[in-house]
Parts: sequence; structure tokens; C-alpha cells
Amino acid sequence: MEEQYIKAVERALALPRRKRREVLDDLREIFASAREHGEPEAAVLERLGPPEDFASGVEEQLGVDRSRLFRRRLVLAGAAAALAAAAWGLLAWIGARRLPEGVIGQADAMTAIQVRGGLDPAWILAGLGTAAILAAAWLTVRAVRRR
Amino acid sequence: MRQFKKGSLEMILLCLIAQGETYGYELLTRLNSGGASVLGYAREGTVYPILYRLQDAGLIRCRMAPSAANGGAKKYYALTERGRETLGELIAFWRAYARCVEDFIGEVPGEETAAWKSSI
Repeated sequence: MEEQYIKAVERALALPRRKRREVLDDLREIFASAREHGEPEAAVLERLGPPEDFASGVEEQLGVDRSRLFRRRLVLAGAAAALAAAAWGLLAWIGARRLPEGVIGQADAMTAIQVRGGLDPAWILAGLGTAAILAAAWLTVRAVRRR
Repeated sequence: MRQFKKGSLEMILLCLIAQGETYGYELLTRLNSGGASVLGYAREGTVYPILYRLQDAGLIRCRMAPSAANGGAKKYYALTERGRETLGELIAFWRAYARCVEDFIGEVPGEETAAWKSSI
């Protein structure tokens, strides 16, 4: 029940990561101290009240503005989406300009020279673009869920 | 009444911490043994958020110390210099405030200061 309660507070709490971690550690201490004093877990849970209330009490005292936090998270998601668009756009542009395979120095005929090795920048861009799309999606979901 | 109690809880917590380094559960126990009948039963959900704010305002600081009993760590609270100053100001204000309110109560027909005092 203790872990469940702490998890529920974690889900409800709209705080920066470090502060959230501190609140959760304190909750663990609350349960541990009560155990140390021989108080049953049920009594602690009853005193703590619903996890959502505990979370909102902390937010209220720390002056957390949920709508501002939501907007900030959406802006972050937007920035990730823009990065994804830029990466894929650049990739498409490079693709359009790319010379046919096997052509060196724009010669008409095939040459025997082959260029090998090195990481293709296109792959890096594709990876970046994919990561940015995933990040944008994750940030949006998180922003909406924590609203 | 509730807001009034909440407001004074901040000062009471500073008073308790001013007596020496202490941790969350002890604060709660001392609050409940000392003032539960007037202030109402103190809960972590009320006390901890206030502690966070006092900490953010730089009035209290905390340190972690290993706890023998539960194998984890306990957070100990102490007043900062700024906290001590603020508490001094709060106490001075509280006394002036109480005197002022008491004077007004004394002016109410049938209500005497002495009677009000004895009921506290």
C-alpha cells in the first residue's frame, strides 16, 4: 500500500524533477518513522488522506501554477516537433541533391573508384528526426496527463 | 477559522524547530500533544507543504542523517539565521496583534479580558 500511495502522489505531483524526488523521499520517511514508532500503516494512510490531496497541498504551498506548467510543457513539445521537421526537411533536401550511386566528380561514365567508410550524415539526421518525433509525442502525452 | 489556524501553524512550526533540530514525525507528535484540542489534529498533508515553503523561503534548512531504526535516512530541520530573525518578528507581531484583539474583545459588553484569558 505504501508504494502504491507514493506512486499515486508521484503521478499527481506537478513539480520539477528534483523537488518531486524530495517529496517522495519524505513520504518514504513518513511511513518509516511511523513504523519505527509502532504505528500501523493503515493509520498513516488515513492521516495522509487521498494522494491527490497530498499532492495538491504541496503544490499550493509551493505556488505551482499548473496552467503555466502545462503551457511550458507544450512549448517544449512544440520545439521537439520543430526539430523533427527540420531534421527530416534537411534529409529530404540532401536526398534531392544526392548524386547517383557510383558517380564521382559528375563524370558521365562509371568509375572504378568507390567511396566507403564513415557514418553517413543522412543516417544521423534520420536518427535525430526520429528521436525528436518520439520526444515530441512523449512530451505532449506527459503534458496532457499531468494537466 | 481554518485559514487562521493554517496561518499560525507556520509560526508554531518555526517555534518548535527553534527549540532544536528535529524531524518530521517528531514535529507532528509534538504538535498533536501540545495543541490538537485548539489547532485540530495535525496531519503530514498540512505540515510538510508548509515545511517545503519555509525551506524555499530560506527560513529553515535540512540535513539528512542515517536512521538506525528504519535503515533509511531521516531529514532533520533547523532554523537558519534568517529564520531566527523572522520568528522574532513574527512573535513581536503576534503579541501586538493578540493585545490589540484582546482590547477589542474587552470592549464588548459582557466580555471581559480576564474571562477571555481564562478560557484559553
